[in-house]
This record gives sequence, structure tokens and C-alpha cells, in this order.
Amino acid sequence: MELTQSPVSVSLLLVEDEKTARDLIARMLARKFPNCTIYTAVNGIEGMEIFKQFTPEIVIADIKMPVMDGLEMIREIKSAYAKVSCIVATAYSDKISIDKMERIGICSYLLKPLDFDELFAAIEKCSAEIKQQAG
Amino acid sequence: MKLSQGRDLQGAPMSPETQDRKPARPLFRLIITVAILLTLMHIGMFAVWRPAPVIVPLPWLIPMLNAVMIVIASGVSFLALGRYRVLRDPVSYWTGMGFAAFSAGFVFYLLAWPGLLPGGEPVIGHFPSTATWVVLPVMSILAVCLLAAGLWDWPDDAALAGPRWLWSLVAWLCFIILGGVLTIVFEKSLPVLVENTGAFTPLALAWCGGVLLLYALGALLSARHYLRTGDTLPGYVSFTQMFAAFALLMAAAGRNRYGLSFFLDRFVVIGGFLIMKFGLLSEYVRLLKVELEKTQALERAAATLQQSQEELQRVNTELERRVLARTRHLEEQRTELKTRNLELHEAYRQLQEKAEETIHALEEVQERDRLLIQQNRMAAMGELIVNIAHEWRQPLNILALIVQEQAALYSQGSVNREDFTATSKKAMEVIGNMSRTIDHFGSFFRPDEERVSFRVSGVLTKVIAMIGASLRELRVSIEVTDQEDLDIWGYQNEFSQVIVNIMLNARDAFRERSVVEPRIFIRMSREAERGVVTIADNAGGIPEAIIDRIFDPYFTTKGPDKGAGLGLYMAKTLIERHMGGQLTVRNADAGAEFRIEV
Repeated sequence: MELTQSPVSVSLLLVEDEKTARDLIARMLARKFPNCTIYTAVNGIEGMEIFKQFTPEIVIADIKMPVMDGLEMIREIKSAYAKVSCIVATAYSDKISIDKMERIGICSYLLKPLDFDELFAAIEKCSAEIKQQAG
Repeated sequence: MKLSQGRDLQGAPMSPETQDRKPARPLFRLIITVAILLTLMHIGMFAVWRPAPVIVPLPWLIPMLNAVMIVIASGVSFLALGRYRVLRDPVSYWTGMGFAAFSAGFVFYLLAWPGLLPGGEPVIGHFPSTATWVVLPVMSILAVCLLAAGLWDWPDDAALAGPRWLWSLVAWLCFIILGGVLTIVFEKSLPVLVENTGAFTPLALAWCGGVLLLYALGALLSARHYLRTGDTLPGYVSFTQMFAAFALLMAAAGRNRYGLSFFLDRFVVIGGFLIMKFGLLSEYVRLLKVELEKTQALERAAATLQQSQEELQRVNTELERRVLARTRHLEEQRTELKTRNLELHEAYRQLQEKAEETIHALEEVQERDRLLIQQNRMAAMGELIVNIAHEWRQPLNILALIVQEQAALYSQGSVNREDFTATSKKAMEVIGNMSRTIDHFGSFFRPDEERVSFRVSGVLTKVIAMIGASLRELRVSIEVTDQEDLDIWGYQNEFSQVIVNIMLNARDAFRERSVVEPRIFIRMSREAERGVVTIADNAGGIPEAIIDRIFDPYFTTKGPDKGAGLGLYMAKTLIERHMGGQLTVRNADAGAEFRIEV
């Protein structure tokens, strides 16, 4: 794949329980979006804490996680800060209905195994939406 | 003699008792008494009249007396022969023959007696000796016959059978008559026995003496015969002989036809004959009485017999009636048995049908079981595939990320050897994990070939590797207490299936009850040579109402999409039937505790 740097400039929170995946995704995001600030968390509870601390614009979360899963965490974050954009990643067997996503207010929805192009496209799409709302 | 041996005078067989006992002989004393009396009488007579006086002859007296004697003698003959006809004994025969000869011969004597016709002539013959020539042979014949009656056992039963005895009598009488006729015809040439004066010649006296001795001897023999046999006829014969002997003695002693003693001897002889006759008559009466008694006895016997026959008939009838009733009863029983036999056959047939139905039903149940087990197996496999999916999700994701990163780095031209090697190594680790996972799953379903000794901790590691993802999802923590390195001898894969089954049940319970901090405690130990593995959870336990039934086949608390309810049943079967162990469950403090003993 070709990795061309994106000018998007947002703050991102990546919540992923698997360390290898988390590190790898964070590394790739940093390469793609050099202007973005990237935070990481291992589970929903940590993700909540970091969100409260830095209030990132976009939250990328794995749905299935121990301690507190992604949807739960997003619901909590949304209740406190409704404007946040959320991208969720899930396995095919755990996919959630569009109804549910709209109800919670999810910006984009990705299937695992994660495709970086899709992830990058989703981030760009979400940041564009954020800009639209702001503008 | 036959008579003396085989019969008594009644002609009936003598019992041994009567033979042994000395039978009564009433006539014997009479014979002795009469003999003594006659002897005394004759001694007296001789003492008074020796020599006996010759009296004036009474021409008709002797013939009249002779006529009386003929009548009596013929009667005796008739009675004796009549007796013979019944008893067929020699005594009767010879007595009868003797008296018959006497009767016939005395007719000649009677007619040859001088003085019957005017001029002193007899009716037949012309000499005084002629009458004596008739009478002495006749007396001799009688003497011989009576002697034969006591001595000779002819004729016996076989001789003179039927009416032949009658012909013998006729022949005998012809012989006597011929003798009489010949005596009359040849009277002139016969020696003189009696003088014209009536005096006996020495020849006549000698003849008389001889015959007298015959009679005397006969009297003794007859008496002896009577004593031996008890037959009264020889007794009476003995009287006659005795009287005849004395009569001849008197006649001889008088030496003259016209002497007093000669007259007296007629009376003596008549007396003897009368005793004979009345003796025979009394014998007849006695025999008649005996016969009557016999007849009565026979009638009684016949009546008894009749009664017996009637009784027999009655019994027979009764018996026939009972046999008939019994036969009918048996027939009824047979019919009933037949009916019951048929019923039994029918019942047996129905049973057979039922048995076939049951077998069919059992086969159906078995088939259903087989299908259900198959279904359960499929469900378990589906479950495991889901688990594989869980297990592989993360590594697949990581691999995908690694590959994409490498591609991106390559396109940037920022790939260096070290990074690439490290990344590749990382990818191979992930791939190795994935490979192990499917290996576990593969071996999990492979049937065990044989019992082996295996380490339980190894099995647990594999199980956790297989289903760990689905447990991690619920954040289940697994605590293993390995007290020792426990080895178990059994079927490893089957054992794994049991552990998986129990742990997945715990997982379902956690999910169903939304347990906040789900935990599974696994403890391994050795108790009394048996390996013990307990798997406990903190899901709250099994309701007491159903705890006894959870190992039953098709028992499930979950929805129909979750399985057929065969998991724990199969687990129990594997542990208890295949490995001879025990699988039990109880409720511990926080939840259910399964205990495996192998």
C-alpha cells in the first residue's frame, strides 16, 4: 500500500486491548497523520479516563474488550460529550446493527481484520464532518 | 379203600381235623354189647336144651319166616344198591349184591321146603336135601359177598360207570336163578345133606361150620372197617354177619331141621336183617337230612351269592356311573385346557407382537439417540468453530496489520532488514499460535485409540488455549491449583471433552446470570490412588430441584438452539463407562462444583 501523509489535524484516542495491534495501529496512524495527536488506552475504563483528560475529537475503539467494552465506553463518553466522533472496529460475527450505531451516534464502522485504508478513510471522513459542524 | 381214605360216609371230603381226631363210633359199643348178649343167650340156651328138643314140625312156619326174610332181604338189597348208585362205594355194592342173591336164592329155598303140598311134598324138587342144597350155597354166597364188602375195593368210581352196575345186577340174578334151577334139576345126583328125619348129615354140619366161620370172620372185619372209616354200613353189616353166625351155630347145634334151635335161628337171622334194614333206612334219613342241610346251605350260599352279585352289580353300576362322571369331568377339563392353551397361544402371540413393537421402539430410540448424539457432536463442533473464530480473530487482525504496515513501509522505502526480520518473527509467532490452536481442536475431536497415561495440567493448558477466548470475552478468570503433577490413565481427548463441557457450562451460567467477576477454580489432587479434578465456579450453583437430573440425557435448561441436553450425559458416560471413574456435582459456597475421579 502506499502511505501518503494526510494533512488532517485532529486529536485521536485509540482504545485497543491487544498490545501488538495497538502499537502497530498507533505507529501507522502517526505515519499517516503526522499532524494529529494520538492517545492510546488498553480498555474502556482507561479510555474514559484519557478522554476526560484530553477530550480528543475522534475515538477509535475495539468493541470487544475486557473490563469495559467499546460500545459501553462510547455510550458513556457520548453522554458526557455528545460532539465526539466515534469509529468502532469489530469482528464479523460481532457486528452491530446500523440502528444501534445510529442510536449511539457512531461515525464509522470497521470490520476486523482491520484494513488501514478503510481506517484512514474513516478518520478523514470523520474529521471532515467535524470540520463541517465546526464551520 | 378209597372210601375210607377220601370220603366220610356223607361222601364229602374229610377235613384233616376229622382225620386226626378219633371220630365217634356209636355203633361199636352196640356191636360189642349185642355180641356179648347173643353169646350169653346162646350159652344159656345150650345149658337148658342140650340136646335141643325136636319139636312137632309146623309145615308153614319156616316157609313163612323165609318169605319174611325174602321181603326184608330184597328191601335191604334195594336200599344198599340205591346207596351205591349215589356213593359208588364197594361196601354198598357188595351188600346189595349179596342180599339180592339171598332174596332170589331164598325163593327156591321157600319152594323146595318139604310139607308145602299135601303128602309132605315141596313145591319144587322131591328130596328133603334139596332145600338144604339151595340154602347153604345162598348163605355161602351172602357170606362171601359181605366179606368182599369189607375187604375188596372193587368196584371203584370208574368201574361200572353209568347204568352198567344195573346190568351187573341182572347178570348176577340170572346166575343165581340158573344155580337154583340147576340144583333142582340135578337134585338126584347131589349127596344127602338132610335125612328124612330132618337130621343133618356130617357134610351139612361141616358146610354150616365153614360158612359160620366166614360170617364170624366177616363180622370182625366189618367191625374193624367201621372203626376205621366211620361208615355205618359196615357196622350194620357186622350185625348181620354176627347174627347169621349165631343162627348157623344154633342150626348146626340142633343137628336137626326140626329142632327148636333151628326155628330160633330164623328169628335171629330176621333180627339181624331188620337191624340191617333199619340201619340203612336211618342212614337214608340221615343222608336226606344232610342233603337237606346241604341244600339249605346251598340255597343260603346261592342267596348270599345272589346278594353278592346284586351288590357287585350295584357297585359295578356305581363304578360305571363314576367312571362316566369322571370321564365327563376329564373331558371338560381337557376342553378347558384346550381353551386355555389357545388363550395362552394368543397371549404369547400378542406378547411376541408387543416384544417386536418394543424392540422396534427401542431401535427407534437408539436411532434417535444416535441422531441426537450426532447432533450434539455437531453442536459441540459448531461451538468449537465459534471458539476457533474467537481465537483467530486477534491474530488474524495482527497479521493483517503487520502485512499492511510492511507494504506501507516498503512503499515509503523505509524498510530496513532488522525491522523486517523482527516483524517477520512476530508474524511467525502469531501464525505458530494459530497453528497450535487448530491442532488442539483437531486432536480434540480425534477418537482416542487407547488408554494412555497423561498429565492433567497439559490437558488443561490445551483446553484453555481452545476456549480461552470465549472465556476472556466474559472476563472469566481461571485459577488452577496444581497440587502435584497429576497423571491420569485414560482417554486424553475424551477427558478434554469433559473438561471443555464443564467449563462451557460454567461460561453459559456466567453469561446467563451476568456474574460480575466470573471465576473458575480448578483443583487437581490425588486421593486414594485416584486422580481427582474439581472444577468449581462462582455462578451461584445449580437449583436443588434439578441437581439430580443434570446428568440425565436430554435434560437442559438452555434454549433448544444451545444443544440437546446431552453434554453432561455424555461427559458422565465418558468418565464412568469408558474410564471407570466417577463424575459428580454438588453446590459449593459460590457455585457448582464438578468432581472428576479417575
